[in-house]
Amino acid sequence: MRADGKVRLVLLFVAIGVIAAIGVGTQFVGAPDSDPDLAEMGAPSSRSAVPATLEPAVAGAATPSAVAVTPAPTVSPSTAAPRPFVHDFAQGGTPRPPAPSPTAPVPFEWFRIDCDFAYGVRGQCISWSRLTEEERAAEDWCGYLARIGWTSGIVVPDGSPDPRNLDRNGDGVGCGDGDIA
Amino acid sequence: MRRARLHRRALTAGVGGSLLVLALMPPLSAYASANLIVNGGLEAHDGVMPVCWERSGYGNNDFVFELTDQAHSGDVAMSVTLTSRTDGDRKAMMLESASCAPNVIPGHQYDLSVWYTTTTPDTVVTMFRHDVALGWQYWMDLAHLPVTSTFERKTVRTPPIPPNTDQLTWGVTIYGVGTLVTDDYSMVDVTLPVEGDVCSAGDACVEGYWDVLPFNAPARAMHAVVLHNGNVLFIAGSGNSEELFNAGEFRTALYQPYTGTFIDVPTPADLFCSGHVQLPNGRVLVMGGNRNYPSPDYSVGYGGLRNSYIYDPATNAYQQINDMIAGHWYPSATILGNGDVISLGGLGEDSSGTVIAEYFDYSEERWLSFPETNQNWAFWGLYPAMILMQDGRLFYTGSHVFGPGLPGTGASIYDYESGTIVDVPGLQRKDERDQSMSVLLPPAQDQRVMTVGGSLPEINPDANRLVDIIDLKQPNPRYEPGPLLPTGFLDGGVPQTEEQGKKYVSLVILPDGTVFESGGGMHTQASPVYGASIFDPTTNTWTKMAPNPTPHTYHSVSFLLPDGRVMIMGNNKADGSYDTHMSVYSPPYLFKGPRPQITSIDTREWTYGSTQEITVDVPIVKAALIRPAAVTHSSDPNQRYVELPLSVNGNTIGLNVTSNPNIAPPGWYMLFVVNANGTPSVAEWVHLT
Repeated sequence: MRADGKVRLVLLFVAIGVIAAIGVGTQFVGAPDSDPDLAEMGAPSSRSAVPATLEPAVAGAATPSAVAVTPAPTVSPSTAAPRPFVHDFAQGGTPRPPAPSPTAPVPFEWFRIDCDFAYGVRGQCISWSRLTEEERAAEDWCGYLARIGWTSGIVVPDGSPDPRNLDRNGDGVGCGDGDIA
Repeated sequence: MRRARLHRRALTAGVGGSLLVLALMPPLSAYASANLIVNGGLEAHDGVMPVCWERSGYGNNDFVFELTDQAHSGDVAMSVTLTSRTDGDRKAMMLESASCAPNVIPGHQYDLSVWYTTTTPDTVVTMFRHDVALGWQYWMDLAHLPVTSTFERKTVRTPPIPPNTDQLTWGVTIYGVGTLVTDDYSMVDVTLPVEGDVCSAGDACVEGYWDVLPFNAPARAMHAVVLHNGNVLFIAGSGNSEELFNAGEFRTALYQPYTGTFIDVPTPADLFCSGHVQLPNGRVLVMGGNRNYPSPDYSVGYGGLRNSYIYDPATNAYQQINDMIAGHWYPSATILGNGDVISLGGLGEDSSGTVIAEYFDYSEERWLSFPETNQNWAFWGLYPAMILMQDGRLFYTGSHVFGPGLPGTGASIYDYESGTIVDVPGLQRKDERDQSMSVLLPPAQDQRVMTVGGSLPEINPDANRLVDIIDLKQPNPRYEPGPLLPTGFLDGGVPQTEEQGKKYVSLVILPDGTVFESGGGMHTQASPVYGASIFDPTTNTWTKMAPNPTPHTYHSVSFLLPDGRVMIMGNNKADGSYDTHMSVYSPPYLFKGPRPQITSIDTREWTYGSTQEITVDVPIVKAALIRPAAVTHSSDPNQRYVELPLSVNGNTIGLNVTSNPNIAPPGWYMLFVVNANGTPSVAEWVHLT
């Protein structure tokens, strides 16, 4: 807005303020800091109706014919972009107690992943959880592996305890040609 | 107190009397009879408020509601002034009553119009809807009103009315210090006719269509980032191959969908199992990755890198930036409303859980040092899905990778500034959500999150079909069970049982505001599931689609292409091999007649709270921004669909952009428009800052 526009606006506001000061019009003024009803507000829908306990600030104004002239704003107009409009959603709940500064590493238990790292190379996952009852009863580990796709045997890494004794000939390949009777 | 009660009675009598007066009044001359607003001109009043209107709002602010003779037409307008504000807002709203709130029809759209002056830009048109089951609900903020000292008219169109909605109320919210005057409200049904069944593509009309591309990806693409030039960055690093790691062979490939070609990108470190997110300028921040493979006995597991890089689409190259505070293998990456990035979780250099919260300062393009960050020492698990909420906090959805029974299971709301964590209840079988996926349901303004599937890695049972949905608009949000994931088929065409579901599932937001799920498997790196479906957030229902023709379990990725199709790729099998085939899905909306076109766009540089002008070749019913994918391990927490309420003037469309960058974090977005048949345009890229 140009400067002369501002001057005209200020004069207009002054004139309106004078009219308002002589008691013409209806005003409802909220004072949330002192109003216990308002202090309870803040519903998640952001719709919360203003309590009906709010009273006219100007006595005798609540008649159908009483219409206020435009009040004098207390701020200057702005052409700025709007500020972010943020709702007061999800404000309930009790925060967890603060965690203390750790004194030891947080362990990550790889054994709780259903991959048997005694077999295969990194990136492979040997899971025994899909054994059938028959395979489990017969301890048919190699048959199971073949069924789920390991038809050429499986690497038994150096140092592996080979808990299911898959590499009977010790060539580093479990369920290989020399391992299956 | 007595005076207050008397006042309420007088007001009630006044409303009744005024309604009678309204009924006897001739039609308001300002509008045709199609105006659905009762007393839209505000001329009937009791001296306090216009009939069928009420004062609303909340928070710590000083305010004045009054009637004013500075009207657009007639004798009366409504004025709301905020004289001071700490928080909250005020608004004059239509009464939520059977006689005052306009009736609406699900699926219809309405032009809402108001004449106004305002001294503050902090104003927005706000809607509530009456759900026949749930009662009155906040629905959406539609459009901001620019400052003006002379009366201007703002018209904005509702999205299609959701199912189970029978009434609507709306008004203009003021949330900044200043004065807002409104008058001559109007609401008109402007529903566009649907052309009917125009599809002749057979089964594709209802279940879509899959193409298996005749070429394979050149790398183990377990990370995919859609770039604002339309290309897709495939990051593999060593790709879960110790052999490649030992050879120092780290791969990245740039896929160019429009030519079907790939370009190798020199890769400076093993970015396998890193985190990634697009920055506001469209460059890609990559953090962490694989420092080492495990020792033979797993006494030392995978270790995480501290390294971080920025990939620039303009140069097709990585540039190293400063290290993070700690190492991270499987870190999250969430962009904030100010363009900064928070990264959490994963494993550190020593293969133990990382409790360090990492903060990337976008303006300085660096990771903050330890003293500059807020630490609360929480371990969030691996690839924790952290979704930015509308107030800037992060919602941990409970979706993660590995780690049963760790603190990183369950769901919570995390405030980085204060360090507080508030646990959120309701997630079904929280320890069995390994390799599930979460998505912020469309539109982002609705603040609902859905988490799908998962399993318990410890004993590797069949993955579950669980679906949980949470409404983060509620004061105390909690997950509620959603409709079970549809079943698919296993190898050999064996149908899944009613108990069998998916892990490694992919969720992709579509331009029509639905969510497409596909891929996945039942067991660790095994048992692929062939099945796909579409979730409609307005009805909370799944509809089965054509099943994915290729297997996509561990280390698969899926993402929306700018042409409205969905690509899925990758499958890391238990034997360590990796399928590099690529499949593309065309949803049914691509078979329903011609696609609408965006024929011009005023500018691609968009700002918050603005109205952006485009032209289209045919009438449209909605428009949205979709953030391009940056996905790995069923995790893309930044994926979101931001509704753009329309201001329609023929084929010239004003798109009203949210003022809240937490709803749409800064960056490049795909802009889609959708016609009455539900068919989307091809996306145009716009840059929101």
